[in-house]
Amino acid sequence: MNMVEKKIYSISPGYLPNFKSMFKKYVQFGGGADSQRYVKGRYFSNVYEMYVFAFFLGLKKETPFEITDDDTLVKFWEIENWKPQEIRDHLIASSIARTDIDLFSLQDLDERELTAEIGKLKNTIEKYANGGLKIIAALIEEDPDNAEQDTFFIKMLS
Amino acid sequence: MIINYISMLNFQCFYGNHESNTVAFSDGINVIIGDNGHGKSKLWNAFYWALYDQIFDSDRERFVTTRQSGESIFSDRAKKECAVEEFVKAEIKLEVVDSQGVRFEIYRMLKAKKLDDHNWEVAPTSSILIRRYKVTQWQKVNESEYRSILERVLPGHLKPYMWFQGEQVNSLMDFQNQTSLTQAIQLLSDITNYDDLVDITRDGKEKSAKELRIEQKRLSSDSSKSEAIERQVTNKQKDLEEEERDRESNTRNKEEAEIGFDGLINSMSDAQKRAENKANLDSLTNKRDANSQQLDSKIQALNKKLFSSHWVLKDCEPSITDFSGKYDKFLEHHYQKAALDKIAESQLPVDVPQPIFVNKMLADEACFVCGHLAPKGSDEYKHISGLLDRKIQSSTTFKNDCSSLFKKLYDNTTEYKNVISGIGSSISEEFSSITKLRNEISSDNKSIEDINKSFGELVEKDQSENIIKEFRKHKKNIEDFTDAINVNNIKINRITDELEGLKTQTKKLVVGSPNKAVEAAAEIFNKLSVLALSTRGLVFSNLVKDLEKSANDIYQSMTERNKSVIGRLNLRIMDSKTCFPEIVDSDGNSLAGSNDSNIRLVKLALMMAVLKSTSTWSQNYCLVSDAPTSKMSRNYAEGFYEALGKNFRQSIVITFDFVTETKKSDIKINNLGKVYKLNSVIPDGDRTKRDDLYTEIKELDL
Repeated sequence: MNMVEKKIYSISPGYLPNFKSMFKKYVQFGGGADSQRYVKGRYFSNVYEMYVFAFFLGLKKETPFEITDDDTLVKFWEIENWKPQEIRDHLIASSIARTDIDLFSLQDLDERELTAEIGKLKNTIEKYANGGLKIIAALIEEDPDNAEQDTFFIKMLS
Repeated sequence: MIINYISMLNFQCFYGNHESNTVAFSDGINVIIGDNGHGKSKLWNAFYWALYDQIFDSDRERFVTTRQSGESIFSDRAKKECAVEEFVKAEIKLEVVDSQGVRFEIYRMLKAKKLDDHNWEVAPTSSILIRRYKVTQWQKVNESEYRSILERVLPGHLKPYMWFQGEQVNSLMDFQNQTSLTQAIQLLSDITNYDDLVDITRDGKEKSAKELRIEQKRLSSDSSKSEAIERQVTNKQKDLEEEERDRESNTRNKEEAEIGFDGLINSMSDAQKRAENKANLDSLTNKRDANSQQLDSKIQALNKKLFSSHWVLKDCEPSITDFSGKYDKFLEHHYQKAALDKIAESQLPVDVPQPIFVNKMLADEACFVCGHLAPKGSDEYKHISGLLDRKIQSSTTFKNDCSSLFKKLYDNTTEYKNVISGIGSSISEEFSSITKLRNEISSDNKSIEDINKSFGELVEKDQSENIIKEFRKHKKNIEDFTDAINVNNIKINRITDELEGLKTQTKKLVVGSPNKAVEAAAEIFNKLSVLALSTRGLVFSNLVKDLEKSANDIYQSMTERNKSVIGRLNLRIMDSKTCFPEIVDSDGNSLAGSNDSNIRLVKLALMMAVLKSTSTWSQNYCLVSDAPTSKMSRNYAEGFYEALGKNFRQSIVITFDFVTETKKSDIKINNLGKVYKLNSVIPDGDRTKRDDLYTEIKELDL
């Protein structure tokens, strides 16, 4: 694994602290056999699942939320641990597409320059994910009953 | 949520069973009329008690808890009829429906034992039970969900404006009072975040200091805490055993009731019809149950498909296409450079042959390698001479060759193109399949209901009063014991979880270091509080402007009928935190001499404006008000009702306005829902004898 790959997979993106309660509400923390893991209202098995959902929602609706250096984000797990791999790859590829990184030049950058370029990728992931989280938060505020439905997240895709 | 109905059993003046004390509601303005002392406020209390475990004590003029209310919760007549050493029970049943059409039943119950004619032993707390109608039947809701459901019936922050008594309007909209102003503003925006920050930081130091003390105490007193936990574990285990015994007994009772029910069906005279019905019932029940199970599994699996079936990737094609474009450019540049490097690699290395030999070849005008002549000026000569000018070529390696990384991303994303394009139809198919199952279940339920009705008719044909009673008793027992078993299961699960929690606590009782971060947290919270206060004022003025505009629209609509009213509502900001309402003319000059009812109307318009600020509130929740238009003239009252009907999907107004049926035409109401009249009855007419009182609820057909 070269330096670029290593840096991409070590990205640990974050979310704004005001979304913390949403993760607490919808993510079923902890393990267990799959058949026993369904708990009403806990639709995601891991924080990254909800985060990935939010990323693609933000991307689909084209609603990036600007994240600045002043924002303190809540971090969770590095990308390399996210599953399944194919969805993680789509997330990385989509983020690259939405970032002004020159893929060819990336190969000859020194470490400092490389860190800056991969930082752009991290920022893009965070922009779309937090944009998606903002959409979810607004929907909950708009109709808390709807937010309790099993189909709440699926319907956001339509 | 929207309220379907409320029913009372021996609650205050509502003596008797639920059936005789039921008030059903529809969309629109539902009106409950009644003279003074005929139970209007007690009905208000019924709502309040069901949801908040409190009633309004008119003697003390404040809300009191069940514990404080004691025996006044129960109907005097029911208490009188209760024998010494027996129990009297009061119960409210409230059915509500959320914005998704899910129905909930909320039961609030209280029991008391009659010790003698004047003394009662009242249970210290009321109990609450919530059931959800899930697909085919009512199911007990897990107790952990109670708070959230009650909160959804009417969110706490909306309660003061959605459920109010006429007399409260002045204090609710007292804009010179900082508390009431803050409450209203909180509903309009994220200003609560600023308020929260202030609160959090104010409490921050206190809490972190307390946490530190707790931490230190814990470290120095492990053994006593362990003992306390141990005592709790022992008690919980006893509760668990008791609950399990109760479940066993209920299961037995349910089985007995089922046997009795089946036996009764088998004893019916019309054997052929009975057999047909029974076979159909069994078949339909099995089919319905299988479908219900399948539906449950499908719904449970639905969210997992976000990842297992890649639904989360729906519509991400554009960005993947963009990535492919970037990858194409990358490839082009990458391999162009690689090709150049390859060419360079194919040439002779620099300094081979060594310059000394090259110079000699030039002097001799001949190539030593191939033996050809290379006369000065010829191409051969130039080629040999060029060997001296060669520069060092870079190697083909990149610092970080990314070709395999990007190829992997490209391959992995390209492979899923077809999958992604089919996600939309895959989701639709899943939803169609769920809808189909739901429809089948609903249709089977209807058929099952018809068959049960037919059983009832068959039983009645037998013309035996005893059989009918027994049939109903068994049927009810089956339902009751099924419910009881569900409750047992919920409690057992809860106690088991609590036991697990206590065990975890015990494990955590390990000596550790005090948390120093708490002290620092207090300091940070304090600084944040200062910041939040300074920015709060900026947001405030904009909020007031928006509120003023919306309230004016409603106020104008309310006062259309009363031509004497001129002007508009102005919210004058006094400082960054307070403002008060006034009625002003077109030049902004205050109109003096506004009467009390006009001021009440202004305040009601403001309250509606607050609620209208988020459209879903007025659509998803019911506005309940006791005597909102008291002291108002007819025109004002009509204006209020018109605005109410226009702006709210459902409202319940308890009022003295329409005190007799003959006055019904006095006030016009559009979008009228159901209308009931309350009438308290004392059989021998002596109104001092409250222990004979009961309340008649009559629906009026207007």
